[in-house]
Amino acid sequence: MGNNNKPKLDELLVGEESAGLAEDTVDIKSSDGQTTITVHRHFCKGCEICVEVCPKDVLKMIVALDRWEGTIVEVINIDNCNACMLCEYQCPDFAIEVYNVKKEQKKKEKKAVG
Amino acid sequence: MDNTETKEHQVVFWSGNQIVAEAAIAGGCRFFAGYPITPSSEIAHVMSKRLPEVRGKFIQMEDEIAAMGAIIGASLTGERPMTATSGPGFSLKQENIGYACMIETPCVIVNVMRGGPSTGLPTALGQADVMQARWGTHGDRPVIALTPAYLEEVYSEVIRAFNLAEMLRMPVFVLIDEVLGHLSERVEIPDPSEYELIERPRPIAPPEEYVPYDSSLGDVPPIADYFTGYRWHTTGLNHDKTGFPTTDPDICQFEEERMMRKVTNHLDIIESYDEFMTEDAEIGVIAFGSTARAAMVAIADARDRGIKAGLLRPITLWPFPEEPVRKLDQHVKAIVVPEANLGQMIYEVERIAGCNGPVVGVNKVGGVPIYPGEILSKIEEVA
Amino acid sequence: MHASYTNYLRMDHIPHMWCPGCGIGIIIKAVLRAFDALEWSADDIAFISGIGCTSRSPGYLDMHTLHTTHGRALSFATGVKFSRPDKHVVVISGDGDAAAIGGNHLIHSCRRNIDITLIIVNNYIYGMTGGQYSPTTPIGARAATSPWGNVDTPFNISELAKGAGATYVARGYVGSGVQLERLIRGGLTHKGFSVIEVLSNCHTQFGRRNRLADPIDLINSISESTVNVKKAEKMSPEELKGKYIVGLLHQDEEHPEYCEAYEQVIERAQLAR
Repeated sequence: MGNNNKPKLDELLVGEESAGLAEDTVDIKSSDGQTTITVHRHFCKGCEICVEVCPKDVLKMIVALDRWEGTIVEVINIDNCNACMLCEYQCPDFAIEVYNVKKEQKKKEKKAVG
Repeated sequence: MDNTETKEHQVVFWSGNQIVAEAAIAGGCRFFAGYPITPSSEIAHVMSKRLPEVRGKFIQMEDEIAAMGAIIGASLTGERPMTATSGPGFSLKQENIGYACMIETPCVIVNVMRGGPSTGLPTALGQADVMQARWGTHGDRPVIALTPAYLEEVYSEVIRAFNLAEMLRMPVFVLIDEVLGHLSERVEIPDPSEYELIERPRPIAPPEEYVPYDSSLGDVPPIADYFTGYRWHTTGLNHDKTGFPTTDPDICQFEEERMMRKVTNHLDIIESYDEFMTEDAEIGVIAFGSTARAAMVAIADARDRGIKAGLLRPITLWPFPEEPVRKLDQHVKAIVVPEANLGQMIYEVERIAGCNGPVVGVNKVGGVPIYPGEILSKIEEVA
Repeated sequence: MHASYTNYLRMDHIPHMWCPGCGIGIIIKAVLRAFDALEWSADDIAFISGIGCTSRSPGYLDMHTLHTTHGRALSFATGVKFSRPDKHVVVISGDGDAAAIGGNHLIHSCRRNIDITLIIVNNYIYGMTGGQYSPTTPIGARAATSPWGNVDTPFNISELAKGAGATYVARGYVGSGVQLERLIRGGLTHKGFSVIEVLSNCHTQFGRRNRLADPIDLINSISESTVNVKKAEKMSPEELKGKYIVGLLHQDEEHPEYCEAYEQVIERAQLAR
């Protein structure tokens, strides 16, 4: 959590060099297939709130000069994610979503009970 | 209040304010939001009693501005709403009036005009909101202001105000003065079969295709009622046909001009005026509202004295009846404009009338009606 | 988009116009999550605002959205709700819009107890117009119109709403979207006038002039200024100085709701005919 994940100069990705950032929407799935984090890169304004609130060091800001403010969020450690949903709930820009199989199941059960 | 049923029409002896309220209900109004202000409060009193009787809604809001906001909100749900006020309240409402023009919601605003600027003369007549009705809001927007002079005409013009508002998707003013609001006279109430209630154009296209300000078929876009499956956005910001804000100069120009065309292209259904002995008139008199009633007496007296006077009486004050004024101007040698203000309508007359002869005013602002004798003196002066 | 509450968004208008890190986005998300939890249909919702950054919200939502005049949203909302009491009417407004120019409509809507939910985004400043001080700017803070420090005493908006008669008053903050959604949902389901004040970050105008230009720093500062209502009950006035109490602050389920009371007027009028 916090400033440890701020991008450093040697991680600079500029223009066509940021080949991995070509897609607008990316889904990162955990090894056990239970959790998926979706990043909508075209919505991310690089505010870093998600990185700040994540309790599990799942996220990091990376430099991407061809995107918005020049930095966007990147999922670096999906297997650490416990689906606390804080990044999704605290993101002002609808740029990050978390899907967890167990949580969705619980939600459905809750709705069924009413 | 004395009503006796005749074979054809219900005959009543009601005040102008009560006529306004009853005509509104006859005109389909089931929502009124207002604020107490002399000399219009009686309209609210009657509406507060009559609306629940017909399952309508009445609310006294916390201020004039809120009353205007509330009727716009109600209009968006499909109601035919009305509010009533006087000069100071009319001033307060201007921003939201402009908003109603901009988002194009039908509604009726009655202004029972009183004397003076500021607090003025609350219980006395005035006709000093002529220019405010035309220019009161900032920015350019279309205006319709109806100025009936007889209570039967008040009844029919209020119903017409609702129809015009609905047809053209805009606020419509009814301007009467305190005298008309408070005097009572015998009125024959028309049977509902004698008039039509016209509704706003609603979309035929399904919700996914709805464009709130689509003027491809005409200057008045269909408007969808809230909660009928059409979800749309609108704003007081200059917006394009989708209802979303735009700063594109061409779109702003187009949409604002289209809004003005709603009036200028429909003069045939909007414009209304009355003429009394104008065909051979040598002195023209142009007056509206209760002042016109005094002018009628002055015209008759002038004719008795050998002066060929004639009266042109706008029933639509705005858009100002230019053609009739132009026509009158061609054969009269002077025009007299009596109005209970220090000269407002006269500017329109001067603008339109050529330089055939003088255009003079008869101006009283002390709250006392202009007497026929005062109009006659002026007629004699220019004859 | 995967999350179901995003169905309420007009995706062709996203990304929205707010600054990176602006709390309004967090708040709107909480509102949509509340609608989603309640399974409200967008066809049944009118979402109305005044003028300001907060008031740009309706444009992004796929429901009946109305962007009105400065401070006056509640009066338009009253017209909509009173005509259609069976539908949901939600108003969103900033601190300047609701408590300065809109103050009269605020207190009277509270008094009337009409079933409208009002969300007041309190970012302590007039953001859209360039950072002028508002009725909630803290004393001493710098703003575009208080370059030497603000001397205007701020409102406690929640207390004002409660005093004026609102029957559901809550305060949340952008630092906790989870609590916020719950408080908003409570307001939406409450039958009567509900006010949810949300402490929010305008780092661009307020923060920048007050050494909190970074959105995270400002959000943390706001979070640190809050005290939960349960904890606050045990604290002394001195301990509470400068603190904002958050949580459900007031709820009254007894007081008659306006539209329902008027229905009885209509019934009385029918009987008298």
